[in-house]
Amino acid sequence: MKFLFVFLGLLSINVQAQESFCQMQQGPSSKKISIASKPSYFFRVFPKSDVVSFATDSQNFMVDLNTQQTIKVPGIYDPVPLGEFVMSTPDKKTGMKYYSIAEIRSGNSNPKILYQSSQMLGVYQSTGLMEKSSTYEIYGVVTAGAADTLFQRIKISYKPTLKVEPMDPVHPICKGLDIKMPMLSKNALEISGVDATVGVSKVWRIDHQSGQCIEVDNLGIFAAKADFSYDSKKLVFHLSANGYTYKLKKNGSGKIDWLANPTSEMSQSVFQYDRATKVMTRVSFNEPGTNAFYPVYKEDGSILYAVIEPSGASRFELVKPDQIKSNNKMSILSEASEIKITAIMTIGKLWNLGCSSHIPMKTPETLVHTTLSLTQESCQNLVHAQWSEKNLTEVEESEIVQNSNNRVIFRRELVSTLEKRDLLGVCDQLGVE
Amino acid sequence: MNRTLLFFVLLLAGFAHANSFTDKHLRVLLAQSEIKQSSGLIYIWSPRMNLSILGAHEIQVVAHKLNLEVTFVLDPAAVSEEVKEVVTQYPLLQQTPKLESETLIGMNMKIHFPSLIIYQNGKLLSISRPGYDEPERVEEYLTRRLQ
Repeated sequence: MKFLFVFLGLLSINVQAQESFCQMQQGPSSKKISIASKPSYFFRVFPKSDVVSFATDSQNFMVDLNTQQTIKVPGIYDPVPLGEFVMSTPDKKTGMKYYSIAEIRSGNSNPKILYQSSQMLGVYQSTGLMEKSSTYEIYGVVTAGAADTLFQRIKISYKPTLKVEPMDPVHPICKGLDIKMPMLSKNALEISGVDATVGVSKVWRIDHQSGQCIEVDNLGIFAAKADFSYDSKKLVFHLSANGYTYKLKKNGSGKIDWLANPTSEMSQSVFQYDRATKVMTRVSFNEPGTNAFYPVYKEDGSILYAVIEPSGASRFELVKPDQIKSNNKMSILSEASEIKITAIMTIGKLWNLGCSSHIPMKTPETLVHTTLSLTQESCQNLVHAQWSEKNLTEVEESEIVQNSNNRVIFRRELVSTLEKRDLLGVCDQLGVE
Repeated sequence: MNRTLLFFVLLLAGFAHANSFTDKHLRVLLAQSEIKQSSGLIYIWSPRMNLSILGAHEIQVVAHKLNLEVTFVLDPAAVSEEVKEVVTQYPLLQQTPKLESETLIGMNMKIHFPSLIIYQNGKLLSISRPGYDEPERVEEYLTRRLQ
């Protein structure tokens, strides 16, 4: 019996120790909202209130993030609010329909159509506020049509009664450009999307007189739908990337490259892009295998995105703007030497060996991501607990798959040259905000 | 090995491990295309993206019209229960393998669904195309790219 107690005691100490160094950084999410339904990869958050409109496989809905009350919205694709009072839903055959949100909220599953724009045929619509007064608002509405990106100005009058009417006919914009997944800026003066001719996300300024679009920003990456902040200074999107990659130049010197080369091990993560500084900051932090998708801005700069776990369990996460900067660990990689990158990857592999040996972590990107997802304390505990010749040999001999474009290099021959302080030096930087 | 025999070897290899679509499967598909001097497209769909399901049927019609082969591949993060629900209604998408090709993933094909990429005579043509297209638009795109 005495031996059993000793064994259980040791087991307990071991589990505690493992927990102390296996702990990963928690994401900055201020709010995690589980949802019973399965949202598709499309949703929009209301500008001011905590309400999200989204599509499922057969029906549009909106959900109040505070009460979790879910209400049916007409249509099956892309429900987008225009402000707080009108909802638009596209229909590929009959055009864009506009509804009163108050009427939808009242439980009427078949609300009156306030206006139907029968020429606005397409999907992927987005909206921007072009003009407002105390009695009306004018929105620009964009959708991906059969041949072109389509645009229309829509006037919403609030007095004496809610009224929706067109300000101009539906017309193409950005003629001659092959823009995929177009997203209008919140003031309808710019549009983001993937330039399908080169496979890169860009921003264009819209000349509403001529309908022509002029390129003003090239992100240099392939992002999914890029949503504009309300002041148009930032964009938010997800990438098939963990965001911290190391590009080896031909001359052998290294530099950090945000153009993460996606691999099958990578989850989708949310990033914010500052258009002035060109710096991308990671917003979502989730366990390997859990994906964060399709972020959108609220008026106050908060970012909402969907998270889907491997089991299919879904939730929304809402991140306040002041929480985003403090989680940016990009500086750790800035101008990192090869030995430092090797130390970062070695920590990731030590975590893999000690905390998740059942999950093969074979790509350098995943190892880097893992290290950068650790807290400073868990990183230090990990290094102290796992630093051994045996473990380092295991790291050195572990199967690491260099990705197809060789953007990320694991220099296994450098592992034996590492010293414990190299790893602890990386850990120290994890606490730097 | 003569071409016919090689074709059947590749065909058999291509149908092995149908649960996933890896680089090996991609190589087989492209080798078949080279032997046959044929063109086709790989289309990634997801049960969480309605338009990718609708688009799968439309792309099938357009591809048939343009005499193109179509390979349907599944969102690697798709949950099996959700896939089952869809394929019950849409048999066209039954038994589509999950995307595991590092080459295609490296070409950004799991960023958004649907995404498609074209191949011709054994070679992938340029870049992947994300997002749903109306049938007219995708037909115009395919016709232009395959000229």
